[in-house]
Amino acid sequence: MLSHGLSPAQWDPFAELRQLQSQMNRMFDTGARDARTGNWPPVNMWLGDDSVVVTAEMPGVAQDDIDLTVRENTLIIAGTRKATTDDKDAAWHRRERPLGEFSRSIRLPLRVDPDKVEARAKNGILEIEMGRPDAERPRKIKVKAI
Amino acid sequence: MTNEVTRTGGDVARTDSENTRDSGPIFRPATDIFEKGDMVTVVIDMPGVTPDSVDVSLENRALTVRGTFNAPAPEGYRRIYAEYAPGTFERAFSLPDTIDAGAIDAVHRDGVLTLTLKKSEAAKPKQIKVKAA
Repeated sequence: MLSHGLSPAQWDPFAELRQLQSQMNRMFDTGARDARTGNWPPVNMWLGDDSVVVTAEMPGVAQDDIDLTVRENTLIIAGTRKATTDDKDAAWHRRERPLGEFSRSIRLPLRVDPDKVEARAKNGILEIEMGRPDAERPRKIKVKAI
Repeated sequence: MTNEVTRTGGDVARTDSENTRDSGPIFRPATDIFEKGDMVTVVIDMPGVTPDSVDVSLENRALTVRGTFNAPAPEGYRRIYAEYAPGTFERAFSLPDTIDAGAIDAVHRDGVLTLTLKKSEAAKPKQIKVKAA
């Protein structure tokens, strides 16, 4: 679960550090990875004026195998990553790609309207765009001259 | 079969070329390799890499796969959290003599590169008939 202690408008000084850490992990990662640890898929988060975008690296996951749930300020990405082959006779030389069921819960910096969710997948990257409920949008108030 | 080449890149100052700096860090993609019958299948995760930017090359039986991806900000958005970063996926494998270098098939779909290698005719097990003299 990602958490945002600070208000979304504030710069998160640890974002870069976390990114560095995951980059390092990726560079030195050699062993087989299990999708079931709750840290899969890796995500990036982007904030717009009235919406938030989560992008996730999910190579080889068919769109039908992805299950998205949005509730208030929580996004759950769940699904199954199928094995490359089910063939029992295949002789494995290397097996590093994570597989199996996965479920990741991500806390969003704002509450989102479930009717304003759009998800697209391209080249193994899933992009989920979520909009704020209309009632919570910041409104401009005009100052009238009397 | 299909052993991985140990990379020495980075140990020599010259190898840190402009190329490396342009495309960011180099990642070692997660790979599955399995063998069935006379086929060897290599499956490599390359999320975010477009099919036309995947580079598969074979030189002196060293098979190198490379793909660069950039994680651009969606229009009008700024990044507030990141676990993956732009860079290059690169990995090299040395092919044993039993693989037919001329018959390698590569398909990239949904961020996954699948290479299909065939064992050469010479490497296939052959039945030798014993004739009665």
